[in-house]
Amino acid sequence: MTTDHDLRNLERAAYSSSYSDGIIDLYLGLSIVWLGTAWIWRPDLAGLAGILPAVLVVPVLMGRQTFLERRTGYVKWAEPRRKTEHRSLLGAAILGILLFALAIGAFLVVRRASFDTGIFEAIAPALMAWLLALMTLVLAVVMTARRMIAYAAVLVVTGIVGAAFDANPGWPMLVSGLVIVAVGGSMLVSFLRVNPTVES
Amino acid sequence: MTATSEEDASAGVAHLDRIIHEPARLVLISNLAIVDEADFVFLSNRTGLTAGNISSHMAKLERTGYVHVAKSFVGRRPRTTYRITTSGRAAFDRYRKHVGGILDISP
Repeated sequence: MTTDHDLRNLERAAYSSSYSDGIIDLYLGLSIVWLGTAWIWRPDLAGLAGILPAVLVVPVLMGRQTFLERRTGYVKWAEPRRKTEHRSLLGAAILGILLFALAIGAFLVVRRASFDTGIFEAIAPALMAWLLALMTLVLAVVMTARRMIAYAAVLVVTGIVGAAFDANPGWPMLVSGLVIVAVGGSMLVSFLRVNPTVES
Repeated sequence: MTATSEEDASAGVAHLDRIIHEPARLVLISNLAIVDEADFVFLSNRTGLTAGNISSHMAKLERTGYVHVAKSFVGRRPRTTYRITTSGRAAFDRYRKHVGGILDISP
């Protein structure tokens, strides 16, 4: 018997598997590596480094669409799924802007503060990694992909280690980004092996 | 199962929509029921059915009016897109209720 519950599960599984190519993971990982490297290399310009991943998001998503259609086929999801996807993406974009503004605001407050900023200074190496972990959790919801929760955990843990060693904030990002790139890369390799180009 | 429920179940099975009841067509129509439209490659990936299988079952579903088939080109590549029709969705819903009813009266 195919119950409504079974159909919902079928739809969820189909939608979730549409993200099994690893391209989003690679994009996320490379963006985090880029941010981490910028933070280590030129901390004074680190804020500007965020512009590149933001500009690339649309070409990456469009290129991915074409790439996927030639391998896993074309699908137009049902309206409720498309609405949920749009809402989640909008939410992620708003959250991203808010987090960015929060990070800049916190940075300015701490720099001009006359109060004891010890706690802020202690967690400063972890702050960016934790903000990125929050963004990754939003992606977990959008993509219905549990591995994004694991990525967020990696960002949190590397942030804690970075704070413990009072490292440059770029290091937790760089290490986490490399982990995500490795996972995304292996997913892409296995995806290409299983899904050769086919004519529909 | 009592004699009456056995008879009810047998009568229910006899009235099942045979077009949908065939396993390959059931899996195809189930996959079409969860999306607005999908192409041949997507369905092949989701169901594991061969090209010949999908074509023949889809032709039957199209003849019955359960599925709408559209052929187009994306650049130079041909694309065959399938969409469940209103009557196809209604028949699928009826089929699910029907099977559910049969299973409910079975032990």
